[in-house]
Amino acid sequence: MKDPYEVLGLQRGASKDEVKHAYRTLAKKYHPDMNVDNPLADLAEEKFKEIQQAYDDIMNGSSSSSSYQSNGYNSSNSTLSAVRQQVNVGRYQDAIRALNSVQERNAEWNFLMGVCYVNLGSTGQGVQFVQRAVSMEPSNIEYQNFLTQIMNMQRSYQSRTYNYGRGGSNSTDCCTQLICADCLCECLGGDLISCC
Amino acid sequence: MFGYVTIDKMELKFKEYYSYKGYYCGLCMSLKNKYNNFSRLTLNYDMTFLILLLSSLYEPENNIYNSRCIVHPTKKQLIIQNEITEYAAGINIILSYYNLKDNWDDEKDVKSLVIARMLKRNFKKASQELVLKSEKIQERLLNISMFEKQNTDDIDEVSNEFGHLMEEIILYKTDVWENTLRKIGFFLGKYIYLLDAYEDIEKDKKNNSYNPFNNLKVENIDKYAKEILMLNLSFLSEEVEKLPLVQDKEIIENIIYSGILMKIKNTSADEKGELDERSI
Repeated sequence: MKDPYEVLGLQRGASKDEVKHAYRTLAKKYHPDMNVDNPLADLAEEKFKEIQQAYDDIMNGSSSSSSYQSNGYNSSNSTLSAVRQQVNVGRYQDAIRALNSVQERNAEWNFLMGVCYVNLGSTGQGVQFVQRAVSMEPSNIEYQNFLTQIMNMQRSYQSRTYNYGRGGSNSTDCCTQLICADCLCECLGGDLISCC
Repeated sequence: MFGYVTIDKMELKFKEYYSYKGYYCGLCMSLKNKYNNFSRLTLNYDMTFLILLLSSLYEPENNIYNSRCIVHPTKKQLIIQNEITEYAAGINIILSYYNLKDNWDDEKDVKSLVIARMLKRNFKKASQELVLKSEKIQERLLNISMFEKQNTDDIDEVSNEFGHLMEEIILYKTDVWENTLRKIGFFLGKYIYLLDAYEDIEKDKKNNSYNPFNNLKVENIDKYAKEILMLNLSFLSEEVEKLPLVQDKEIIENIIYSGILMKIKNTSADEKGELDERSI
């Protein structure tokens, strides 16, 4: 597979704004509507698809998006492993139905429930389920990672709103951000700075 | 709709502010030209945000000119219109009509009935043009009113419906951006519903009207409400950042990272306290 940054004519690690600008310029150039009379229209269309793919790869690859893959994780029982398969293909409603019929509600059960809720947009309840899973089994990296992803997302939004109109981030804000992050973690049951 | 999705005017540059107003006045003009003067009453900021976002994503050809209007009879205003403005005008009429009808059915609000009657012809015209959208909007609104009548204590269940409603509205085209646009619409709609409920907590308690926050079994409703509003906005901004928005990017960021929060700040109890302290 080609390097997505290369496809967009950028250096690796280019900023999101640079990626967006590059995508815009190239997408306009190779858009099928712009190349109707072009004898190389097929080639242009292929290039257009490649650009789109590269853009999606960069944007989704770097995001802390809540969509979920369970590759490499094994379930404690067969019902839950069936639920994982449903979750993987995005059948969250079916997964919730199956989960509701399970008697034993262990950490994994709470985690899967949380993943379904978050993906269905019931974010508040979803986070609560995942928190329960983490507190039932604090050593589980999968549960912890999912919760951290959401917390990072919240933290990044809060710090951007905090910095908006204050001339962007600088070194003093960094401390405030950390304290903010710590408060948020505590809200969600974790802790970032253990002494306060 | 409610007008919660606004700009933070003080932080915009002049040129950005004029562009924003151009879109706003453009929507107003489309309402007048395509429907009638009366339909301009339905004008709001939430729809202007949709126009801004979709115009930035699709960059359609704009029709830009200066014009006088009833609201600004002396000075000519900048007007920005495009195909998305036309679409948004129709959606706006449909949504306002259902909303007014709902106000009449639920609260017997006479003013709403009168305006709904006057809008009816425009509503018919708009929903004929946007049949599928109109049907989906109606379906979601019916679900909401069902959940509200059941007095549900599941705040997600009811607010998700308004999320799905906005999902339909924002989906101007089905293309590669569908997934992201759906999520943006969803979190935006959910936020609007929740914020509206949050603002009305006290009023609804007094009138014994349905409010999802009043059915919650949590100690500090104000704190909980703010937490889920912020969580919802985090998801919203995450999705908006995925779109290749270049045109008017500064205005969109102004709204997402500041303007949209202003109503929470104005409503929240302890912020008010803080302001009072400062003024002393």
